[in-house]
Amino acid sequence: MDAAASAPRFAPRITHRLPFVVGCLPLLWLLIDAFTGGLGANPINRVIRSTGWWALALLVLTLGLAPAGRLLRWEGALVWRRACGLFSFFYACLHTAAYAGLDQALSIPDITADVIKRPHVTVGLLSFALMTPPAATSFGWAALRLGERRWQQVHQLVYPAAALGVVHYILSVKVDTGAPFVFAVILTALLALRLWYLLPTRNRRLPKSDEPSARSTTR
Amino acid sequence: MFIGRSRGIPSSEITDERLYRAFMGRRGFLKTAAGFGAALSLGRWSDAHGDNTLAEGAFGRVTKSPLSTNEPATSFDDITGYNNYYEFSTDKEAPALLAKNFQARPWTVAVEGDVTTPGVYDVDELIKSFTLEERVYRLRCVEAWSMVIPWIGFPLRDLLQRIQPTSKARYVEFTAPHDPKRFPGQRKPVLQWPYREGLRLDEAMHPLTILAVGLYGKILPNQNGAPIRLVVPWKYGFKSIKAITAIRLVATQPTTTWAAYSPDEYGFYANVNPAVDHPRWSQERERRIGDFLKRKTLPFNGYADQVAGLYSGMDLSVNF
Repeated sequence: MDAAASAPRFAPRITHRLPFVVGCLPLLWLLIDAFTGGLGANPINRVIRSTGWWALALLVLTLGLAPAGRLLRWEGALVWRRACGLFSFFYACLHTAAYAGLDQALSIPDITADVIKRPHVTVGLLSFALMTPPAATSFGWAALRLGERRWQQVHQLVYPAAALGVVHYILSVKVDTGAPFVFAVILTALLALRLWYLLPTRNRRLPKSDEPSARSTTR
Repeated sequence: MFIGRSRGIPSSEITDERLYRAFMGRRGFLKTAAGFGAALSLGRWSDAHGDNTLAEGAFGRVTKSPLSTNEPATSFDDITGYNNYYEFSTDKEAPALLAKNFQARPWTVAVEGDVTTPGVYDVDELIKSFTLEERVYRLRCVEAWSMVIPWIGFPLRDLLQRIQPTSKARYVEFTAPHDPKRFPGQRKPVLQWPYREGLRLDEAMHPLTILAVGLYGKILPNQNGAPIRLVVPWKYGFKSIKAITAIRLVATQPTTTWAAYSPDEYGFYANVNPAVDHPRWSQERERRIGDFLKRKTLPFNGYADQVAGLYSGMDLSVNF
């Protein structure tokens, strides 16, 4: 923990908080719509679709930020990557809660039947489940406790989670697979890039290892 | 006496109010707006009409129908702002914008096939030649949402009786235009254009089956299928084809758009049936637009008393 006690970093505080502010914007947008009647004739459907879209878009963005940082030699990418991943999980939580609470009125039998019978619900839930361990271990102390290698392994789950998220999206739409297809193409490209870079990244510094320092200095 | 307005009336209701005023003159009405997301309860449309009225000069006398439901009608804004019309877009809010400049007139409807008197009719001549009625019907979309819509139209059977199907005719096939210049959604091959629908002759002759030419007393808005569309209230909404250009009497069951697109998801009959799920979602419940909680879906969309007899002896889980 010596590194944690090192020099206070004032400049990163703003850059560390900006992702949080940006990540809240979709929710803010939804809330404004909700209170001004902007959610349209079927508000529950709108909330479910919107939160689901943001969860997937941010997840794909999360995966894109690592190669983007590498290519552009942009260190800030890691801060944004963590925020994107967490906000993706946040919107996935809202998405799941909206489905269970607003669409299914928290009826356990209905939800169970849906999960068993409807492939898109099954796949969606699986994707959400895979996002949970990386989200839960995204904080600095978890990385320290797990150790770098194990932590990395847990966080590899975002790849299958994103793939299942795209499949969930494709299965959910009635006819127009245009938007899910765009996600599928981007994700495929990112996975290919990931495989390409797999070896060089193995021995890289643990991305989140500096996180406790930022936390402890702000407290 | 002045009765104050209740607080927080959403803007969506204001158009309705103007509409109601246009029809009702000085007669007052009471509305309640109960909380965010709660059902809004409008005065009964048929009550609002009172006796036969001239509807904004759009139509002549429009008679009320005993076949109308008493349920509160969905707001004009929701009916005209949220619907499926893939010829314009797969987005449910886009047709209202994209259909704004659509020219629904002049328009002709061809009546052809196994009929004694085939012909091509100007849509307004056609409309003028029938007695228009207001039919307040439930509409259940296959996507598990529903509305209550005060249609203006005439029974399809009136038209069929006039054109006299021959003894060979067993089915009625409806066709919409295929013109990507006018229907931007047709530039994408999402469905096999043109849109086609069909009914068995006895379904087409059923008194509930109408050709709609208006709603809420107004000429049918473009996004709702102007100038003339089918309305079959006991079937999922996609059966009620919009912007009809041809009505053809045929001997064999016609190929219909959605059944051709995905035969295991959409059947030819497409009767509203809570017992037969869509493969990807349940049809047990529906969300009435404006309501918060879902309600139970009724067999034949609540019209079982009138139409169940049409299907006696048929296995509806096979003929879905």
